[in-house]
Amino acid sequence: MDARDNRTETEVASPKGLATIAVEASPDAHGRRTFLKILGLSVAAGALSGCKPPRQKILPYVQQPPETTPGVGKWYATTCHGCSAACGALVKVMDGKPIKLEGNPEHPLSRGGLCAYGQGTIVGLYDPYRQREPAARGKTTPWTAMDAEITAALDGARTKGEVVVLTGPGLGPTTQALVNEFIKGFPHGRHVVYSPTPASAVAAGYTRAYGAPIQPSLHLDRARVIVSFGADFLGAGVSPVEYTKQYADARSDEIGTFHHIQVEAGMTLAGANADTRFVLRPSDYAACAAATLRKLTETGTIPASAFTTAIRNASAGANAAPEVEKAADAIAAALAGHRGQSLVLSDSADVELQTVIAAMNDALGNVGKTIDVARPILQAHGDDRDMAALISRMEQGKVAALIIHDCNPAHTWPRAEAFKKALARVGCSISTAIVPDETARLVQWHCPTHHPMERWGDAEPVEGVHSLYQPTIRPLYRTRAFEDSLLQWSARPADFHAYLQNSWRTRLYPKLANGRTFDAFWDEALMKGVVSAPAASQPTAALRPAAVAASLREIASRPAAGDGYQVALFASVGMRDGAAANNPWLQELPDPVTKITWDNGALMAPKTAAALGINEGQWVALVPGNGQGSAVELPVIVQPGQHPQTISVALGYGRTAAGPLAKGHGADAYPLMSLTQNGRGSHAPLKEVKVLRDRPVHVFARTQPHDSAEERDLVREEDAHDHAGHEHGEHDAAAEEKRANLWGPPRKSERQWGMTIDLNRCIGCSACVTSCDIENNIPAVGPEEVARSREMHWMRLDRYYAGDRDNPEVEFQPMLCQHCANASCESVCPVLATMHDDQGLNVQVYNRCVGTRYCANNCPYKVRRFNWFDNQTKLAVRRIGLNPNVTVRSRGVMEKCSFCLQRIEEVRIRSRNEGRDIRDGEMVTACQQSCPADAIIFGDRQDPRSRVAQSAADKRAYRVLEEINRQPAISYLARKRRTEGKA
Amino acid sequence: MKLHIAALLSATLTLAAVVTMFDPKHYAWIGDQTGYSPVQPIAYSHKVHAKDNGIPCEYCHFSARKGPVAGVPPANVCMNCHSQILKDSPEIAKIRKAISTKKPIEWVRINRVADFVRFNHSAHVAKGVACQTCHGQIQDMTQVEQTRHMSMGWCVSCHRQYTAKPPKGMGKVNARVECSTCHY
Repeated sequence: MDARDNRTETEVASPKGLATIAVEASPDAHGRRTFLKILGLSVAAGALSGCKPPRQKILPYVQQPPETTPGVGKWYATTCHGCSAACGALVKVMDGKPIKLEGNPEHPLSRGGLCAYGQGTIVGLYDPYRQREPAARGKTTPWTAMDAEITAALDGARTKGEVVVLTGPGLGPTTQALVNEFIKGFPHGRHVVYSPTPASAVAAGYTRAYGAPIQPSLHLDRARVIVSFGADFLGAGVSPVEYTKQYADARSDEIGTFHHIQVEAGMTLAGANADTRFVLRPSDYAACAAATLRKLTETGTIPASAFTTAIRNASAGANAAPEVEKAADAIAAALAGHRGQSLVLSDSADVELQTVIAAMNDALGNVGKTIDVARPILQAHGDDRDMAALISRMEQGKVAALIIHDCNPAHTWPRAEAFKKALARVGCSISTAIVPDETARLVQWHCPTHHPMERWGDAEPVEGVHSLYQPTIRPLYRTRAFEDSLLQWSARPADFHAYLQNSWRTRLYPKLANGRTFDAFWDEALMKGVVSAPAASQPTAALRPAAVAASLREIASRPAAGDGYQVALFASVGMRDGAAANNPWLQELPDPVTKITWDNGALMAPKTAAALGINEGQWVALVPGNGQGSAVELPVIVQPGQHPQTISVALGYGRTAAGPLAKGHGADAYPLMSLTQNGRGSHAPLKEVKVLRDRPVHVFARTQPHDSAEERDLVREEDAHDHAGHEHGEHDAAAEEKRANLWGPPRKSERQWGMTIDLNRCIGCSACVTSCDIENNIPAVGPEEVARSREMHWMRLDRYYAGDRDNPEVEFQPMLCQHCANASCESVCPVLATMHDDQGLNVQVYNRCVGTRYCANNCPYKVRRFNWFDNQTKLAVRRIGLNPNVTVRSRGVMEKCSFCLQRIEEVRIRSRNEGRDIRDGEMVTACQQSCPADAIIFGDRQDPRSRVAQSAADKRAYRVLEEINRQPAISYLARKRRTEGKA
Repeated sequence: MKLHIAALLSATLTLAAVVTMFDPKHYAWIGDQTGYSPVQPIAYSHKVHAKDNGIPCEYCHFSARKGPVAGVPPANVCMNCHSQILKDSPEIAKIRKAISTKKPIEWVRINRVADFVRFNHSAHVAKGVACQTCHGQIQDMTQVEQTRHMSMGWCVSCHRQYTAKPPKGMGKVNARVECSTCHY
């Protein structure tokens, strides 16, 4: 057994071990006796050990770095490495250990937000499954020996064939430059970029429509009408945080005038937020977009020109299916009158569709307004055709050396077996994967790179936005940065830090010097994490009507898709492409829409399930229809709002070599991806959906089993057009006082903390859940426990469906401890473990709690969590990441949201030490900080000038379950949704 | 066999209950470390430094005003003086060794509050609470000893007393006795 297997055993103890304990503690006679014995012993031991406490040591620094103070967190600016969106991030480093990632407010794109996935990436630093040493053919080998072998092998490859560097998207300009230099050192050097989810079609569409290869950046905040053809731009798209910020701004600007139309097959996060949602199959998106463009020219929204004539000629006689025409009519009507204020987008891999969309945006006058061509997205998603060509050259033995960095094609390439076979034919294969993943297990040399929080680097997600990565901890293991490896193998000093500085000195410093020395410029860039440079290029390209007409003709000539089933694959909010599958927090993050944790499944419309005669949890086999790929077996999830002929499946699950926590959860859906000459596609026809009736029913670990608010007024929505009708903010104070009150008036104090949550901004992305988990040491408990409703999340996102099950309205509501003035929990606690403090907080005193659970039973909001077990991980390396300012709760103790009491105390002590009052906005809770939609406001609600008090006085403000008079400290602001033009 | 276990169980439970529940003095006795004075790796004397030579406490414990932890001084702070003074002492040699090998000196912890208590030095130092209030006559100790039992009753009594009647020169005190002040 090698070291890798040893690790597997210890890690499995985390979620699975809980199930074992649960069996032991079951109340059979023997178990109880054992339990009492242990209890007696522990009481005795406790009394005795009281005499002699454990001997503890204090280890001061030998040489304390001047900037550190023990027990005080420091924030360093860096870049999030979760995806190629490269949002700005701040890392909290406490006593030398990074413990939390938050958004960097200085970053011009992400503006202080950070998504759930991005925040979860810090857990990867402490992943016990990381590759700790370099390994040659599976055997641990020192770097010097590795380098000698690899240099010799690369030298040999020089004459034998191509030397290819295969990387994931978003390398960063300096690493990109280094890769370019590296491949130049070989006569047949080549760099191939491969993105696990297909994303190259947008740029391809623009190339066709304009003849210039660009992917423009978007300004959703400048749009009053947004039309999305299947793109989940709020969930796991190109830049979710940036778009969520813009979207929330757009929705809050003149509340009620914004109109979001979503055309989609499955219920995505964007679709759940749409004002109008049309349920169409993926194969109909192109026809719908084409029909919309046609109608826009017919109705005169696009003024007549040579372009409109070309469109009309190309689409003469075109007639789509009635439901497609109906959707196109509604979209064209909504777009009328919003020239230059609208935005049409799609994430489809269909280049013709992308061409039509590019043309539509141009014709609607959106370029230069909502579409920013001057600042293109530089995420470099690569071209699938390059990857396919690389694999065929590998098969032919033309590739002599392959260096794989930051991608895992042995799992994510749709025909993984073909890739694996081709990889075996490469003479010199190297992987730099952080964990021994599916690809790294097949290569000869595994040269693990640093975790991104241990290395230097830079990023330029959008032209002119340059951000830096900086190491916030010394490398935990014997790893080496990919860049340092490349430098080493090209016989140059392995010092990427110097290389990076040099690159900034030559590329950016001359433009941004402003009279400063380079060191001053560099220090400031490092401190802020990001600098903005003027955009270099101003591409002037005109729309090519002929190309657009050709695309329209191609779409019109497509054969009807027939009545068969189709599959739509998507990257979920928590799991994305599956790279972080060994991350317990992300696995346990409920999907925003399905609320399922630790699993994927075949998302199926209620009608479809009924037609097939199956219920949720029963298994189906999805058999791809294009003759390639292989069948995938999955349990069914019944999903309202799903197209009856389309089955959606989340990617990233079912990994075999991500680590023990990923094993056995969900099924790998990549084999269902279509692969044609043009590249991959997330949508594909299915040959059949085979029902596997003899399989035992799968129990999903779902955090919210009930879908409906049952007519209770929990999430208030107002029709966008009756501002005057409902005024929820007006509650009759006198009437409230007349109600019988057991609690008496609240105590007088210098402040009363409170929160408002704007449901018109909240999009349900669940970033707050992960932020809270990591800030407050909230453990993941594993799927068995979640299925028993024992998840520990202090913050949850309730999701309700309203109306028609075939296309429901979706409502989101962040729910956390309401810190009621008249708290139900406080009056039933027999040991006064939950109390009200003078600042209006409902506090939970862990050391007093004896675990009666009366409080949880009496809480009307169901926000209290009980520690059924010692849930916190015992693995030393994972425990490094715990927040030392928050008590780790033990078994038998109740817990719940504390309004980030540790942060409140920090701010309170700081203000008192400085002899001043706490400033409004100085105290920021973890959920509030990370919210990409800025939906949460926290502060002193006793101070009428504070933002929280002012927003709580808004006309839209209400409190949940107001009628039971708990006097919560949290107010919600009602959502406004457009209802006209409904499908 | 079963009888034995039952007898043992009830005896221990009764004993524990009597000790902990009926006498508050004994309740405080559990975990009380007053008088604890372990031998430290270096024979450091607070009397020599703080009293005889009058070095201010915060010269070495420089984090006390800035953060929750007062901090044991890093070895290089010792060498600020000891690179000149008592260079040949075997005790100083231990510090030099720590610096040259980059291995921290392993002091034995004496004063501690329970794991579920958050104590912040800076909040107390900023208000002007003297070090001696909690640490006793530290300037007279050649070997450090715990002099207060650091239980909740002891903390709270001071918070109440100071709020009601602040000591001379302290100004207005609002020392809270809410659960949330220390437990989170």
